[in-house]
Amino acid sequence: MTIKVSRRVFGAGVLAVGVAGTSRGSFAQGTPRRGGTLVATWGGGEPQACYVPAGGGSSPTFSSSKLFERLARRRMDGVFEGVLAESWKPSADFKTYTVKIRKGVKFHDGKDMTVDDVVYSVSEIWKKYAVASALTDFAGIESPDADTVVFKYNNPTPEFFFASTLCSPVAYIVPKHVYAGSDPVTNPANNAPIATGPWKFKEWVRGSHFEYVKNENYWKKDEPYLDRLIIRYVRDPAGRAAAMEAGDIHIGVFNPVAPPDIKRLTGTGKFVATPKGYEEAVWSTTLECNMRNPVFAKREVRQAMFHAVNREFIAKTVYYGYARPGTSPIYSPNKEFFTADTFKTGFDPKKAAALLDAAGFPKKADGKRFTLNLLAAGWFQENGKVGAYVKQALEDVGVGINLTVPDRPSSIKRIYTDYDFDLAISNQANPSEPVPSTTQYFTTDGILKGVPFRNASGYSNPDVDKLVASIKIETDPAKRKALVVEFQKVIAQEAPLLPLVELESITLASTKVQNHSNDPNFLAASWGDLWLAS
Amino acid sequence: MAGELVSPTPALRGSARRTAALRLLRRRLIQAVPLMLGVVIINFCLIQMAPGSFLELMTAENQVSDPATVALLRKTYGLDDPVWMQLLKYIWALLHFDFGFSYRQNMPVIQAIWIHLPATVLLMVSSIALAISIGVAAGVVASMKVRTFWDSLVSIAAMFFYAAPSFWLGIMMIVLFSVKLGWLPVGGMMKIGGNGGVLDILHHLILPTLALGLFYAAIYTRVMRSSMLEVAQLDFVRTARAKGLSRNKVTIHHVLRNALLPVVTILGVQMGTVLAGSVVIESVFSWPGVGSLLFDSVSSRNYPVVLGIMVLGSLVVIAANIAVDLIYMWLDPRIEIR
Amino acid sequence: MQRFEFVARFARNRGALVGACLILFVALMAVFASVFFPTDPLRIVGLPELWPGEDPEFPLGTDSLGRDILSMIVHGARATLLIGLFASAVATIIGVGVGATAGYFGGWVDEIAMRVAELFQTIPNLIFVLTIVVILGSTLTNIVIAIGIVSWTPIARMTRAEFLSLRDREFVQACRSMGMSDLRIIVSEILPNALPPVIVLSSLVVAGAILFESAVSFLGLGDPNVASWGRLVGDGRQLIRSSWYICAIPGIAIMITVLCLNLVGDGLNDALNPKLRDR
Repeated sequence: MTIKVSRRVFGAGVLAVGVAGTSRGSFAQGTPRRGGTLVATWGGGEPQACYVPAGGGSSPTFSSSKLFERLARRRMDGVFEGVLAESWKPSADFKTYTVKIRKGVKFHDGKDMTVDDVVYSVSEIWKKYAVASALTDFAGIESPDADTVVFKYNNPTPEFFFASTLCSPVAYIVPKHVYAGSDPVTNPANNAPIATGPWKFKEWVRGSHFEYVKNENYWKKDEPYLDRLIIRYVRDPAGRAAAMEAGDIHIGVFNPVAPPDIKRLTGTGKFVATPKGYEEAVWSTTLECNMRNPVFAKREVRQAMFHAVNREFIAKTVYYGYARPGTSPIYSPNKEFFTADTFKTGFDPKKAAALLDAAGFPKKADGKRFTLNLLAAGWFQENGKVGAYVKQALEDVGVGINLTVPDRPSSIKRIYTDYDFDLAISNQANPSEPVPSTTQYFTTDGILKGVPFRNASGYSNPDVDKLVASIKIETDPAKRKALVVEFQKVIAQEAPLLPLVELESITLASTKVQNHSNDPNFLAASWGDLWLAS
Repeated sequence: MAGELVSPTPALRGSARRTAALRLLRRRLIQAVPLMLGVVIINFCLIQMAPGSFLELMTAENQVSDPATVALLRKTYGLDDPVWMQLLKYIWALLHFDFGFSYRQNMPVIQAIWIHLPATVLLMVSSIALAISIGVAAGVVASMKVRTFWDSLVSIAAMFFYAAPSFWLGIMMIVLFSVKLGWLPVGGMMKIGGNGGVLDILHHLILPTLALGLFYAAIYTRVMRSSMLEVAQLDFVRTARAKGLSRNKVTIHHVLRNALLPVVTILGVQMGTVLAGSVVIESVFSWPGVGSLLFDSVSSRNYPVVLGIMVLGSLVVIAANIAVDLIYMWLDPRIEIR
Repeated sequence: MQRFEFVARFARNRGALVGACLILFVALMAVFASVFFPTDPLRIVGLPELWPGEDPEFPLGTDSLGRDILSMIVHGARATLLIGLFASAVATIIGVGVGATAGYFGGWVDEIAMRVAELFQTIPNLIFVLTIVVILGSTLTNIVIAIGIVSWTPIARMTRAEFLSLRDREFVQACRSMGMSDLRIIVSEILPNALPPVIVLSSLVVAGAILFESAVSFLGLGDPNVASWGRLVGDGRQLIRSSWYICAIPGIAIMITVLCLNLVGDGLNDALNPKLRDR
């Protein structure tokens, strides 16, 4: 394991239980056993469709990634490896990438996967829906021969960026013969996909589960090891805990049960809990300042908001220790780019008060400097609790707070369409490659009214825009890293939006399940290599 | 709504009763038409008042930012029409049992509701059955032992369950029977990974049924008790007693049947509240019914589904009230319904 | 004299007396909440998940964030009672307005009013409340209005029935022949006589409104700036394995309040409508 997952006090204790009895923490021992049915769940609800071309969040990513495949994947050790691509190579000017496509791959309906499918997927699905924001410099795709495609870009494109694009969670190769000529968003095949992966769609019992069966013609010999994969949806964490305890569910990804139950279940010795497998999708809870409110014009006021908040308290109380204070817009598990050496906005209410005084906002007769609308996005229950705490923390430094916790649709609309907030508590999940997932929260071109999970703070700084533009086209890895470090330093000090805490997502699995948590985005891995010990 | 006592006419018999029932049915069905129309219009207007259309949500959820795609979707869902046109189109579609398309489930609304319907029907039927059997039994016991220890016990228990919020009762029962004692499952409708055998479903049904049903059992107990006491005062019961029939016989043959009438009435009136109560109970027990669907749809602004459930829910209430009138007629032949 | 009789009749119902005393206690709690607990009840004051009695400073323990449950219960009494009273007031105003108009004028006005009432009875109540709250936003005002909108029909029916029986009485006809306006007859002549049974119903609507509000808050659709009992139950729901008291305590508070309001309603019924006893 070359990627070292940063685990803080609490997680380490859990992991110690988890690793016991497994070799080198890879949750695998002996030779794979064939056959059997694996029942899996995750810490969220049923998706709107099995496959959502535009992504649609983690839920459809979880269900579709077992069926569809991408051109490449990133391994735990950080190395990129071809999946439906065999190899890729940049041109000397880094403006074109030549990709060799794997031969002998068949779709589940028996038709061959060809370069036509790749060209269709990239130009019609990726560019339009799935990874549009990573393809802004994309100039087109061609297929010079039957096993090669060429990606063309308008500007030099770094290798790490290109490979990361190929690995994006929903950058799938879809069958052209199924999707061409239809509206991909509403194509009925999204409910019963035909793809190339180790699992074949069999059935979707709404409100209950997906049933996938072994793809006998899978191109990777030997895989999948299991005969059947069931993805079961259980509405509440207590129900998941009960089902896992009863042996009805073998594995749950992305925080399937409540923290107290993690301890209880791993305590039985029949389960392991691990924070591994989320290195390419690190979640955080963020606080952002709406720059449209003139009180935030000075960066000291924004910094004061963060100084007022005790992030350790949030990590310990709201997340039961399954979180750590965030310091930079790039998160600490990001081995390639993270730097701890940034401006610090740690817990210091006195400094917060002093900064606000100095910025021209002394306490008025009612004890308040000014009053803000704090919006905590209601899609995670914890956000409401973070909101309740942040309200109190800011009131302690003399900032009046009106807290609202709207549900998911209202939150999306109020934060990303109406910009109807002064402070917002929201969440992000970021891969290692900072462009565009991370940077679009800070660049001017990320201000897109109505598009969620972009720059809603309205922060616009020509220096940051320039910096990001050069990160985008810098092809020398060392120079690129230096630019990203610079970016982190600027943002941490400017503080338009910063993580309050980085979240530690947990996978809980029966000790019978082998080979799990072996992908830096395990939720979106194909799971062909999982097997069940007897 | 339910029948009103007009005058004690001689009992109608045979075909006369059947034609009376048919006449009643026809009149009620005709009355139901403007009612349904009103329900649709009220709900449609309510949903129009919502800030932000479901289209915004849908584009947000699927991260569609391309203006052309958005325009296409607007057209697909008819959002460019004026509001009255949308309403007319909706009503016209309803007449063909077309409740619209649920983008979230990626299937027609009627199908989405249909999938969740059996679970809710099962929960409602078992809760109502529980409520009636407990309510009638406890009410009869209390009225026969009026002003005794048993009467007080029943009354106090009824007061209790009438005041306890059903969701809280459900959680407390989960704490006791599932967490502490481990006898019953914490939620869901069947064992996960199980094939849903009858016993398994019954096992999962116990707690939700109790949580939803006990509130109504409390109501029926109180109604049944006072109705029994009231009927027992009526002349024909006194006559029966005077003829020397035993007290139990009189109670069962004469009093019970007549005392059931108010229970039947409120059953019809409350059909809607039972359905509404199941929203909360389904949420507590992760019961995969229409209530869960409604809650998901409300919180994801899936208005076509919300509207569909409201319309169907109102239909159920109307149907229940018609059924009540018919049952009324059957239980008490003296009654002709206005 | 008449008043004394009323009190005596009410007090004869022992349950009602106990209920009234407890309600008075809850009301005092609500009024003096800020005196006993001057800090914001939603403030984090201690360690999270302290069991009742574990720390004498927090007799009822703390919730998952470390907020004092006793303080939240006491402040919650205010929110709960206010919501109940205001929702009942909304329902009573609509109900009396519609019922009085229907009963007094009769004819097609009555027909339409009763059809509208039927319409509102047809839509499943809680579903309607949830939809209204979600659509208009989770504020106290919207919750109160939503509950009022689904609760007015029984009051309207009762008012209408009273008006039907009173409108042809001699004293009303006398007023008419004196040329008194309809509005004045309704408000100053018939309404005072029709009011007693309406008051009983209104007190029961308060109890119903509290249950509605707690369900709305329990489902997470309540106002986050208010310490509501229902929301407390909802918040504690994920912790039933470790800290079930967080759910239990506010639920008991809801139950006792509703129970007492029902008892008071029964007592009022006995006192105001001796004829209708045992209904």
